[in-house]
Amino acid sequence: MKGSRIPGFYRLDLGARHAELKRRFGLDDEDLAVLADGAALSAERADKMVENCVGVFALPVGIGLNFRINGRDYAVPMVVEEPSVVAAVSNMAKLVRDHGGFSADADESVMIAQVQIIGAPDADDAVAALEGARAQILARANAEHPNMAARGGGAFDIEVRRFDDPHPMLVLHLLVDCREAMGANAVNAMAEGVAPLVEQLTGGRVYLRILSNLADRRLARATCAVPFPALAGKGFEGVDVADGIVQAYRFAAVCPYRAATHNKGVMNGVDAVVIATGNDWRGVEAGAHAFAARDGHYGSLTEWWTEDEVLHGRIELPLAVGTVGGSTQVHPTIRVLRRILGAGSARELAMVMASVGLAQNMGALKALATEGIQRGHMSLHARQVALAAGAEGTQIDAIAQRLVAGGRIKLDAAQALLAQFEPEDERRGKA
Amino acid sequence: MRAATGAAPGKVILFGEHAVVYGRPAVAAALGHGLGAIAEPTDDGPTLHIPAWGPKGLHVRLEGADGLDAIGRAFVAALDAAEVGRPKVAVTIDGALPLGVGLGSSAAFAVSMLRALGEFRGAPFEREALLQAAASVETVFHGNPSGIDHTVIADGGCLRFQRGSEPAFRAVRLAREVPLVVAWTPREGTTREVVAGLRRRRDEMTDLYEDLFDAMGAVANAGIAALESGDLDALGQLFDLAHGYLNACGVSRVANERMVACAREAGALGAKLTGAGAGGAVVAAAPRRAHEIVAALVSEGFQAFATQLPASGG
Repeated sequence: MKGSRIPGFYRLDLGARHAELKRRFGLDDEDLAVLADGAALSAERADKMVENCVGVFALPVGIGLNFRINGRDYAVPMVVEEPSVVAAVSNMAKLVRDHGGFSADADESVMIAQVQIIGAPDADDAVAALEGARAQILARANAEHPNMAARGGGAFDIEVRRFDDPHPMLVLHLLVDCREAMGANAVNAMAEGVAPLVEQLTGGRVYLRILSNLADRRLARATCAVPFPALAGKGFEGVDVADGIVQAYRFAAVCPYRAATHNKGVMNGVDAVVIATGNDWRGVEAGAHAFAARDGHYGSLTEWWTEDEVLHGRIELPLAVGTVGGSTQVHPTIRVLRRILGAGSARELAMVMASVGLAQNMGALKALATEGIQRGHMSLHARQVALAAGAEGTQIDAIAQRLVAGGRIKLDAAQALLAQFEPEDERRGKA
Repeated sequence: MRAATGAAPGKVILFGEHAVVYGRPAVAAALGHGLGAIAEPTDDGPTLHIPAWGPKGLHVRLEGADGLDAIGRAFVAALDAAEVGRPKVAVTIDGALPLGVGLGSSAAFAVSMLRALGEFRGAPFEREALLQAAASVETVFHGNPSGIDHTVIADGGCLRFQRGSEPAFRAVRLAREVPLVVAWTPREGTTREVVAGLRRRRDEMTDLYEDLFDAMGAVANAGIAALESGDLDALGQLFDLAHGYLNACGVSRVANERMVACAREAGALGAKLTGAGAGGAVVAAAPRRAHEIVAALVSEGFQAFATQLPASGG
């Protein structure tokens, strides 16, 4: 088994880190050259990917360490430009790893294709006609992308959604098991392929036919549990850290302004892995935020609570990601990064991403919570030191603030500050 | 409720039809679309429903039916091959694949239905068992099928086939997706008749026809190189060459010539008859203007669709 614990990795230089990758993940010099060379995707290939191409854009790749998910170790490649993301996630993964690691699961790779039907003469009849022709619609959908059903997936069910005023329309959903693929091409081909049949059945006209990024049949979940003592440190009690994390979660649960930032932190980790594995991070983003607002209120993608002196965390979000197709064939770096990660299936990949999202959230909340505690502790302490130095009245807060800002909360520092104060106050008194 | 699903692509012969009978290589490829099958539990015995076939759709009911037609016998053969007895199952098959013009509809029918039955019984077919079962279903339609149809349709991708070579099948990797337009018109004769007619002509002037078959084999090999390198311009040119040779063999009809000319004029890189000929289908390389080519063919009274050969490994 490939371990995800590489103690001291952060202290190594780039060359030594490459040597570790070589040793642990069987990479060869060519793979390492791909990693070292930010332009491993050639401009010629890039030119075949987008229009008006003028070049290639590079981003840093870090390795999220220490992940243990369902008893297996994962070294997680993360493409991200923001400092601290990789360090924070690795620290939290270490904390969780020491207490059993993450438990994760993921749904089958079910995508929804939508077919919009306008102007059906009788909506009830149209719904009945669609539901009555379920088998034919599904057979037609699978005929349009036979590879999917040949691999054991394919369109396996339909749903009809009906919208009335102010914009009456019917929407047919095809539920498609995409197996190892993200599935966008297949699902779109299926939606297009059933359109003539749908028009014939409903008497309406088909407008849009395209996948939904709200992939709420393709959810991934992860949980973790950390006992209070493991959260203690730098003068904080574990119970206070746990309480801080829970309060931070509750803030996001009730307040969309906070939830947006909270979920952004989750996606710092998720997106980094989505990009590293060649998946569509805009699709994953759209799905995650739509899912966070699924009951009409935009809330938190994660949940944190305490029970018997243990902090528990849970995440659930749609993760429409695949291990085949997309840019995996074109982008050399992605092939190397997938080798390092070693997640063999689309569901396994989604479980890793969910765990990373949960760890990233935990890191952010822990930092925010302890920073809050720290600030609280420090200003209390500083006030006492200012008092002990002989400060009075408005001097107390002013000196306490300067002590905190100076980072050294000691009696002599307070006395020095007070000494500067008095002449100033005297001058002010004379004026 | 989750339906048991199956599907299989149609196929198109890209190179080497007819010459393959005389030991030259042929190339066949799975299309990007084909037939889909759904198997669901039902209250009464096994039924098969194909809404798109025939003016009112095809309904096959085994109970109380005597004297089954070919579709009914093929359904029985599939149930037998799946070793499911006579379960209370309703099979529905649909798809825009035309019948009897050499696009692999009977093999796609067999493979898609078998896949759905495999899922229905809770034990999907392994490859070898699927090929064997598909052969037994196809036999109902074709007597003694060559195997190229159900092999390429079950495996997907693109295959080189040569009688007597070992192995008979070899996979051809497609460097990129190959956009095609396929058009068709009713057949003017059976495959058996067309093959027999060419046999007579060839026996009269054996050397001249053998030279022709050699040239067709060389075009097939050049076609494989074009597919493997993703050179669609070369592929189109080779389609045109292959069509000329097929015309020289006497298997093309006015309808085939009109379809080929129409596709080329509307922007195809090249076009050729595909399959046995005497009417039936033509295939055109159409990386651009596929919809215009389809529209032009339809306006001339033919049926046509745009499709593609998926890139290998995608």
